[in-house]
Amino acid sequence: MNVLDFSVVVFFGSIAAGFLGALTGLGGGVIITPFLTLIFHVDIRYAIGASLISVIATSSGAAAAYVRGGFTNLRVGMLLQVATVFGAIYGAYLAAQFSSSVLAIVFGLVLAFSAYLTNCPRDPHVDDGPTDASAVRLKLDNAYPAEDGLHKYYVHNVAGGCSVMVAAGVISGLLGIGSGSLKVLAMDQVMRMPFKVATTTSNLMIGVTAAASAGIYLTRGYIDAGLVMPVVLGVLIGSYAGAKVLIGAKAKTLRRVFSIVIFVLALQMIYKGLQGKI
Amino acid sequence: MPPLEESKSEVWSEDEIEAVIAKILKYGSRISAAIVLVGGIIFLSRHGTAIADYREFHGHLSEYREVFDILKGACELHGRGLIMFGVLLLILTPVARVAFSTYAYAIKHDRAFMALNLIVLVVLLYSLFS
Repeated sequence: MNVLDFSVVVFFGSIAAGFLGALTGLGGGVIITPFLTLIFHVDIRYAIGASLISVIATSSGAAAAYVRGGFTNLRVGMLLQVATVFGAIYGAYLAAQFSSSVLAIVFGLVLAFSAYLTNCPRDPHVDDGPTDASAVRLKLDNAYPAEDGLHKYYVHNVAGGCSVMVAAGVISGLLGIGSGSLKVLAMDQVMRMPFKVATTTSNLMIGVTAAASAGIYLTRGYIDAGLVMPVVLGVLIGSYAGAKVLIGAKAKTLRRVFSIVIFVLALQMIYKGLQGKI
Repeated sequence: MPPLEESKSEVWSEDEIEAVIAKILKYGSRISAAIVLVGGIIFLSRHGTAIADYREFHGHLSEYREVFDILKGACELHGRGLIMFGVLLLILTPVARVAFSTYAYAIKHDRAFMALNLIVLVVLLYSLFS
C-alpha cells in the first residue's frame, strides 16, 4: 500500500476509533492501538506512540469545553496529577523492557477490564459531610451545577485516590493510553466524587499524564510523523462527533453494543500476543 | 480566606483561572492540529507514492527524536518536520496549562497548589528536554 492510500484509510479508521472512544467513554486512543496492530500489522511501538499523541489531542480539545462547564474539579486534578505523572514516567520506562507480545497481552487485559468498568453498575454516593482532613485542608470540596442550582459535594479518601492514580499513570505510560477508566474509578468509587465531576476531571488530567511519557516516546522514536498525522486528525474529528451523538437519548444502548466490540478487540490482542504474532 | 481589597484586581479567582486554562487548551489543540494538517499535506504531496511500511520498528533511526531537530525540520518546511512540530505543540499544550497554574497560584499565595503544579511542571519539562 502506498503512503497516500494508507494515510486515507488510517484517517477514516481513526475517525471511527475516536467516535467509538467518545461514545464508550474510553477515549479514542484505546481503540487506535488494536486497530493499527490487528488490521494494519503496525508495530505496537509505533501504534502506542500515535495513540499517546491522539490521547493528548482529545484531552485538550474536550477539556477546553468541560472546564468552562463548571464540572471539572481543578484542585483535585492538580493534586492527583502529581501521582499520575510519576507513574507515567515509570510506565514509559517499563514499555522498553517488555517485548511486543507481552505489551499486546497487557493491552488486551487492560482494554477488557476498562470495557467492564464502564458498564458495571455504580454505587450511588451518600452525601455525608467531610471525612478526610487533607481534603478540607487543601480545599478540595466543591459544588457542581445541576438543574436546581449548585450541588455541594465532599472529597473522601484522598490517599487512596492518589495510589490508584499512580497505577493509572504507569498503565498510561506503558500502553500509550489515557487510563481514563481507571482515573474515573479512583475519583468516582474511591474518592466518592460525583460521576460527571470524575469524568471531566479525568479528561483534564489525561493530557498531562500522557505528556509526561511523550518525551520518552519521542526520544525512542515511537512517534512517527507519517503515522501520527492521519491518526491525530482522525481521532480529533471522530471524538468530536461522538461527543455530539452522546447527548442523544439512545446513548446507553449504543454504549453496550460498542463495549462488546471493544471486548472482542481485547480478546484478539491477547490471542495474537500469546501466539507471538504481535 | 478572601483576598485583601486592594490586591483583588491582581489575584485571579478560581473561575478566572479556569477561563484562562480553557483558552490555553482550546487554542493550543487547534493550532497544533492545523500545523499537523499543513505538514501532512506537504508530506503526502511529496511522499504519497512511497510504500507505507510500519511492520518493522526502526524508529530508533528516525531523524525527529529531539526538539532541536524537529524545530530545524519545521523551519525548512519539511512535511514530517512540520507534523512533528505540531505534535510538539500538542505535547506542550498541557505543559503550558501547568505552567500557567503554577504562576496563578503563586500570585494567589496558595503555596501548596503552587508547589504541586511546580513539581509536575519540572517533571514534564525534564522528560521532554532531557
